[in-house]
Amino acid sequence: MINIAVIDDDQLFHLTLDILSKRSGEPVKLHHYFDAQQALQDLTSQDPFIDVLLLDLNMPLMDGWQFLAHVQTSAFLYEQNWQIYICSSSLDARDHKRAQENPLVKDFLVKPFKMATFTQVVSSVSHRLH
Amino acid sequence: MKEIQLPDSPAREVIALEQLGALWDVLDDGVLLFHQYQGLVYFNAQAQSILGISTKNLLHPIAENQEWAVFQVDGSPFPWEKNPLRISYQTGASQRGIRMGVHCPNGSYVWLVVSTQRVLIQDQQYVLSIFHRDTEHMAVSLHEQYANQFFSKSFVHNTTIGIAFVGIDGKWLEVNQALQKMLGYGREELLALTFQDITHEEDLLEGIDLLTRMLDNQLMTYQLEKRYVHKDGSTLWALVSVTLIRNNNQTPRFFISRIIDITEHKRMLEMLESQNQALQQNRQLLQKQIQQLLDFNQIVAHNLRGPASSIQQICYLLELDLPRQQHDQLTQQIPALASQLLQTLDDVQKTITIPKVPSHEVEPCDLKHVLAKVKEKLSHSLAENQAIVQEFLRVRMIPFPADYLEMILLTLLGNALEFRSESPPRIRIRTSRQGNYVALSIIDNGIGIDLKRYGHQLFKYQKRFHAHSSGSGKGLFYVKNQVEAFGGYVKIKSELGKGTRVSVYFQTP
Repeated sequence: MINIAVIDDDQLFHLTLDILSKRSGEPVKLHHYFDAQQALQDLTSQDPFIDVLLLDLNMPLMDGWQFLAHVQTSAFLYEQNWQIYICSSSLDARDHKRAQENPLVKDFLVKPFKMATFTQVVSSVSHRLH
Repeated sequence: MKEIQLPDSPAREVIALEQLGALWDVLDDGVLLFHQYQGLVYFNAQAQSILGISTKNLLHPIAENQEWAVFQVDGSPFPWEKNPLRISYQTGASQRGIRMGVHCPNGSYVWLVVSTQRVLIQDQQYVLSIFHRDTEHMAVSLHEQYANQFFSKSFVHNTTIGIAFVGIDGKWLEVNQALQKMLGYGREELLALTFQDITHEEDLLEGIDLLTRMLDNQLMTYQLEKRYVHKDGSTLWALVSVTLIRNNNQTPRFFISRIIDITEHKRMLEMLESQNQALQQNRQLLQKQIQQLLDFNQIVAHNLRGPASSIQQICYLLELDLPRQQHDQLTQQIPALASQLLQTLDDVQKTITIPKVPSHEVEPCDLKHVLAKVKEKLSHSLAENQAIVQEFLRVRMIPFPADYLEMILLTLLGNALEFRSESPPRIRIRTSRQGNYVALSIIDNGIGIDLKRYGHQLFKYQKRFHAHSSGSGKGLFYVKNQVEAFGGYVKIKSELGKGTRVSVYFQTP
């Protein structure tokens, strides 16, 4: 089973992943977070086994960058060794550059999210698992 | 053996030249003896020391000797027909106390007081010249001796650089043509004036101070930018270099000034400076505008692309032939996304249409009136929350368009009300003058903002910092944009749980 945490304030993105994961037939379990702060709290305290993080950038209160900064400074979170993907509709070159320069970020996935993108994410982890 | 017959001596004794020579050598005066054809035939020890002559100067006929250039008191060449040697020789009349400058064979100048006398020695006519140094005169007319030679050269006049000899008292002693042209005075007019007479009064003290320091031996030479007043009354800027000339015993004699007209240069420099300043202001404005553009880019990248990409996402999912319930769930979201898209487009347009009226053309507005209007609009919310608004307006007129000021106050007071704490909101509005700005501060006792955490995002579009806020996150973004478009700026101080102070600085023209 591949555990994917989705951190995004956008309802539609969660729905999209529900649909895509069901369609793909892959052994995937989704963990939904609508608030980065809440996600940070849960992931720190409850220690769910997470393989992949799909992280939105533009969120109120705590945005994707701030979330990443917290992961970077927390030894516990850092050692979780998550595969972190930025998922954003942003085409802002500065966002892309920043993602590229962040060692925690595996890739920048531009919304909308299609099946091919989803299977790419899943296979990158299953390679690692086997 | 030669003999000398002294003409006026009653005894008319004949004395041997050697005997006389021995006598002359102990005199303090210099003695020269000239022969009609043979020229200088004898000099005593004093003459040798004063004039620096040697035996090779002997036996040159007087008239032919080019090396013996002599000057009158005013520095002009001594005319041959007035030369005491010649007069005594031709007329037999003795000459007494004639002052003359001599250009010695060794190249130096001396000023002498000369007496001459014709003598008969062994039936041959000689002229005897007895002289001593004229120290007083040497000092006084040194400049004339230089000036005469110097200002006779054509290059001194064929230049755009003003050249002058100036007396210790500031009197123009000699001026070249360039300087006359520069200052608008003729030579005679200038020589009747001092440099003080035509120096701009604001530059007079500095010039005199420098000259005094030079006379006191603290300065060898100096350069100064100063203003002169032209004969026609206009002011001209000049770069003046001055050197002090001293005589042999170090007494200051006169100044040599080199004067370059830099009026045009100065004018261009001033123009350049003012242009530079304007450029600098434009640059700052441009930087702000670039920042605004980056903000717009951010809005396009996130706020516009967001809903558009969501619609695309829905279209993609709908093609997957979903069960009825999911299908409906997706299509239901489209209207909200469309209006979100439109709202953002409207906001962007609103922000872009801020008129670029230069800040000095803005008609100031009365803050009292604007505040009354804002409080009227917020009256319901103010009453509901039992809010107290206190005004401390040291400045009433705000250099900002009234409608924009109203929007800013609506936003800031609205924020203060929305982010109230448990206790009733207490909002203080202060104005004061701060240099080139009028500062308007809105101070509340609300819940505050965690500036460490959100400080960098405060003014960004649609950034919210409170979990349960109904705000759009656009207020401060607009405030900042509008204030900066008119050359002002916004500052925020806040502490969680204590309150927030937003200060808007309006640029005064």
